[in-house]
Amino acid sequence: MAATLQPTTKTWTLSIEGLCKSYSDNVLFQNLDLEIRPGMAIRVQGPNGSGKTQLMLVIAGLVEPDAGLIRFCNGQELLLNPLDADVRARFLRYVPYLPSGLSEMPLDRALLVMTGRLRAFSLASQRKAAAKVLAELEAELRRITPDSMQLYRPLANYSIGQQKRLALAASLCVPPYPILAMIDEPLAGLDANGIERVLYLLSEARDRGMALLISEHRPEISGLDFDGHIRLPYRPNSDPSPAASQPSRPIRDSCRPRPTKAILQLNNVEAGYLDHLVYCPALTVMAGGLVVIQGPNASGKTGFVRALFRYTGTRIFGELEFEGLPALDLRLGQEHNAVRYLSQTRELFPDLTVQESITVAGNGRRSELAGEIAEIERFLGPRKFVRHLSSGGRALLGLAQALAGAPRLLVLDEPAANTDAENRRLVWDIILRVCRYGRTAVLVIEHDSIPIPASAIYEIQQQERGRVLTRIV
Amino acid sequence: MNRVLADIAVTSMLDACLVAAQALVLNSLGIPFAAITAFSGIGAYAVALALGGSWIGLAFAALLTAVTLAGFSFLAPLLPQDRYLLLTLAVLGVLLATAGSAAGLGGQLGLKSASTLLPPQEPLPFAVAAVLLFSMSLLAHALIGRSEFGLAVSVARNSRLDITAKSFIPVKRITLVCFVIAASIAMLAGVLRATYSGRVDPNQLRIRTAIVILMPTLAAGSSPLRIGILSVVFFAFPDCFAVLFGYDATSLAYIREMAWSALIIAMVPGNVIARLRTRIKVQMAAQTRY
Amino acid sequence: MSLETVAGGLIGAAYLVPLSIAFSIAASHGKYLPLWIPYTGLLGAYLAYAMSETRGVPAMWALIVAAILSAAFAIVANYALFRGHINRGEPYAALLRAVAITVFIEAALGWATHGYALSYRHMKLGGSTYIPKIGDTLTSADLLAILSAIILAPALALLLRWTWAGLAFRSVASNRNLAREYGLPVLWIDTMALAFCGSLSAVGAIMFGMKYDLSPQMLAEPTMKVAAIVVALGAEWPERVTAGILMIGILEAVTQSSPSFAPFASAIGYVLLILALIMRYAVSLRLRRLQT
Repeated sequence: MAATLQPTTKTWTLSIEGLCKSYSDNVLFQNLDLEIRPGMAIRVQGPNGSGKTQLMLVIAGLVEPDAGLIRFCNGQELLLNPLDADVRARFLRYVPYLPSGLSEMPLDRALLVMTGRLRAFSLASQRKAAAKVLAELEAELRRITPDSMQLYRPLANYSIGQQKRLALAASLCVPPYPILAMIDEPLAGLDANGIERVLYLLSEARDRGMALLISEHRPEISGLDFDGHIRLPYRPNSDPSPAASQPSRPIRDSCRPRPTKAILQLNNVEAGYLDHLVYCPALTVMAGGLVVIQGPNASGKTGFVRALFRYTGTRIFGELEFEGLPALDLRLGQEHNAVRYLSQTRELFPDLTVQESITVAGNGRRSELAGEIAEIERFLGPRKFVRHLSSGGRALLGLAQALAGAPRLLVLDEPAANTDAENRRLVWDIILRVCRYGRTAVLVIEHDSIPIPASAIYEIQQQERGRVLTRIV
Repeated sequence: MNRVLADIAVTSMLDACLVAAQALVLNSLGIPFAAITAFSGIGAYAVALALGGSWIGLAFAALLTAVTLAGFSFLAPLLPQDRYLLLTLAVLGVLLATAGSAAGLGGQLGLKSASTLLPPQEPLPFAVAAVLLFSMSLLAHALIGRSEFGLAVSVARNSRLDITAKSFIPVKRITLVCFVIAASIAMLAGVLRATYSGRVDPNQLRIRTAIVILMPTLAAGSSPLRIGILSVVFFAFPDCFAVLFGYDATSLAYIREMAWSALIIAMVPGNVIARLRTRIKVQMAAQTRY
Repeated sequence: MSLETVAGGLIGAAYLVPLSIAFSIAASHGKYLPLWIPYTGLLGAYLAYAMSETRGVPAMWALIVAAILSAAFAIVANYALFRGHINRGEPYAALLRAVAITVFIEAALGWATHGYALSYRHMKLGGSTYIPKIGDTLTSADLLAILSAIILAPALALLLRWTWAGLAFRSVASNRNLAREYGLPVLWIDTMALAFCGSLSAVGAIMFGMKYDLSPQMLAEPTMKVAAIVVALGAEWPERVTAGILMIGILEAVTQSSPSFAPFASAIGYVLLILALIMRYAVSLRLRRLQT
C-alpha cells in the first residue's frame, strides 16, 4: 500500500466527496467536494471557529468526519477511510499553526519528528537519526532562517516566526514528501523577510508536485497564486461569502447614539500578551457610546482588552481613567461589577439553568435592561441547562449575563460570532438598545464590520513602533 | 544475617522491578496507570496454576492478561486522567475479589507455588535473578530513552495535549507496546516472587500495595539512574535499617510511607521552575519598556 | 432476597451516607475526586477516641471538637494543597495529591496505633430495639445512621436547589472565575463548603467507627465505593449519590446472602465503577459518532 501512495508521477488525484463535520449543532462544513491534483494550491478562508483547522484535521485523518470519503487515485484507486488514518497521516501532512506538541523537544529531535523520518519502533539511536536529517536539511535551514541554530535548545525557545519556518522546512523539504500539505496560517507572525522565504518554500513545494491546502487570514498573498478557494462555514449552494454580521432584516433603530459622559479613557497604554503588545495612544468610550476595536485575527485585539482589565497578559501603561477617576488597578469583578466582559470563549455556568445563570450574574442588582434580559431568558428557555445550549444560545446567554449586572462598561468580544442570522440580529438589536439607554458604554471587538452605527472605530495597525491602536472613524 | 539480607534483596529488587515497569507507562508514556501489580499478580497465579497442572487456569491467565492489556491501552486516550487512574485501581479491586473468591484459586490462603521441579528456595540465587531482572528493566529504560522508539514515546505522551502529534506516529500501537513491555517485566517479577515465596495469595493485589508502588514511581521519572536509586532505597531501606540497627521494621515502613507521601504532596505541582521562569520573564519585560 | 437481607444492607449502607454526601459536595466543588475528604473524618474519629476514651471528655464534646478540627483541617488542606489545582482545572494532579494524603494519614495513624484496631466504649450509643418485621435488632447507632440518611440528603438537596447560598455554591462549583467576576465571595464559599465536608466526614467516620471499630484502613474500601457512585451518578446530585450508596448496600447484602456469589460482594463497587467509566466515556463517545 505504501508504494502506491508514492507521488512518483504527476498524475495522481485526491478526491474528497461529501465531507461533513459538525460540533454540537454547529455545522462546520456539509457535503464538501474537492478534487486535488499535483501542484495545486487551495486557500481556506473563514472567521474564527468556522472550521478551517477542523477541515485540515479531518483530511489528515486526525479527526473523524461525520460523513464523507477520501479517495486517492494513482493508476489504481485507493480508499483512504478512517481505518487507514496512520497510513494516510504519513502522506497527507498537516503543519499546525505552531508545533506545540513538540515544543519541549530539542530542535534536532523535533526536526526528525516533523520530517516524518522517525521510525516509531526502531531501537536505533535517535541522535544519529536526527543528525542525518539535519545534514539533509542544513542548506534549507540556512536559507529559510539565517539565524544560527542551537540544535539542543528546545523548539519552544525559538520565536514563533522561527518555529513556523522550521516546521515548514521540515515538513516540505525532505523526502518522503507528502502529496498534500495542509498548512495552518503559514504567514501569521512573520515579518516581511520571513514571508518572502516561506512563499519561496511553498512555491518550491508546488514545483515538486506537492499540493497545498492553506488557511490564511491575510486578504491577499502576493507571490502565491491559488487554484481555488474554500470559504467556511461551507454549505453547498449557499452564499459563498457569509460575512459574520449580515442580519436577515434591518436593525430597527439606525440613529447614531449620542454619548455623554466618558466612562473609559486610555492614554499611552500598552497592553496584551508579551509577544503581542498593542500600543494605544488614546481611546475614549462614552456612556451610551459604542466603540469598536477592529483588526484581523491574531492582531492582538483580545489580548489587549484582556490585559487592560487584568484578565491575563501584561499591562504597561500611561493613564487609565474610569468614570473620570484614575483606575490604575481596574479589574473585572471589582468596583461593584462596573465592568462586564463577554469573552470569545463564552464563559458560562454549564451546570446551572439559564434562569439561575442570569440570577447569579445579576447578583441582586436591578438592571434597567431587565426587559431585554427577560426577552433572552424566554427565548432560550429559563429551565434549560446551559450545557445544552447551542453556540448561538450561549452567545445570547453570555450577553444577558453581562447585562444583568447593570455594568457601566460592557466589553464584548465578537458578540455575534457563531450565531445564525436570527440570533445575530437579536444580539445587535440588544446592543443598540443598551447604547440608547445612555448609561452603559460599550466596547466591541470584531474582525469584521458591524451592522449598527458606532461612535468610533479603532483598528490595530502594524506600524514602525509595532502594533498601534489607531482611530479610523 | 546474609540470608536475611539476601531475602531483603529479593523482595526489594522485585518491588523495584515493578516500579521500573510502571515508570515506563506512567512517566515515559504519560498514562496515569497504577495497576502494575495486577500483572505481577496474574504472573504469580499463572505459575502457581501451571505447577498445579491446571492448564485451563493457565489459559485463563493468558486470556486475562490479553484482555487487561487491551483494555488499559484502549481506554487510556478515551478517559480523563483522574478517571483512568481510578479505573486501574478498580480493576485491581475486582482482581483481588476474584483471586480471593474464585474456585481453584485457594481463597484468602492462596495457592502453593513451590515445586521440586524448581530450584530450591534459597534467597541467594533468587537475589541474583532479581538483580538481573531489575538491571534488564533499567537497561530497557536506557535503551528506549536513547532510541527512536523512545522519541516516539515522548511524542505519544505529548499527543494527549496536542492532537497533531498523532500525525507523526501510531499512538495506539506505541501505547500497546509500552504496556506489553511493562506487563512482561511485572509478570516476570511476579513469577520470581511466587517461586521464591512458595505461595501466592491475593494480598499482592491489594490497592494499598499498588499505591505504595505508585509513590516511588511518581518520584522516579523516566531516568534509569533515578528509577534505580529511588526504588531500591524506598524498598530496601526500612528492612535493612531494621535488621542492621534492630528497629521495628513495621514502624519504619510506616515512617517511610509518611515521608514519601509527603514528598509526593510537595512534588505534585511540578512545573514550579518553569512557572517561576515565565513570571520573571514577564516582570523583566515590563521593566525594560520604561 | 428477604426483607431482613435488604434491611441489613440498607442499615450498613446508611453509615456511609454522611461520608458520601461530604465526598460528593467536595467533588462537585472542586471538580476532582477528593479521596482525602473521608480521611479528614478519620482523623476526627481518632481525635474523638483520644479525647473520650483516654482523657474522659464527654462524648458530645469530643464529637463537637472532632468535627471542628476536621473542618479546620479540611479548610487548611484545601487552601494549601488543592486550591491551585481547582483554579487551574487540574483534576489529575489533585487526585495524586489526594492519594498521597490518604497514604500519609493511614501511615501516621498506623504508626501511632501500631496498626491495631480501637474500639469506642464511652462514645458508643447505648440502647437497642428489636424489629420483628426484619428479624433484626437495631442499635441506637443504626437508628442514627438511618435518620441521617433520611434527613441529610433531602435537606441538602433543598438547600442547594432552593436557596441563594446553594445557588452561589453551585455557581462557584460550575465556573469559579466567572463567579469571582460577578462578585461572588469565592473564598468564603470555599471555606464554608470545606468546613461542612470536614465536619460531616468526622461525624460519618465516628459513626462508622462505632459500628466497625477504628482502624487506619477502615475507610479505604468505603472511599472507593463512594468514589464509584459519584463517578457513576455525578457529584452534583448528593441525593442521587445517597440513593446509589443505599442501592449498593442492598446489592452487597443480597450478593452476600447467596453462597455462590458471597465472596464477590466486595467487588460490586469496583465493577460498578468500571462499568460506569466505560459506559459514560467510551460508549457515549461512540453513540455521539453514530448519531452524527
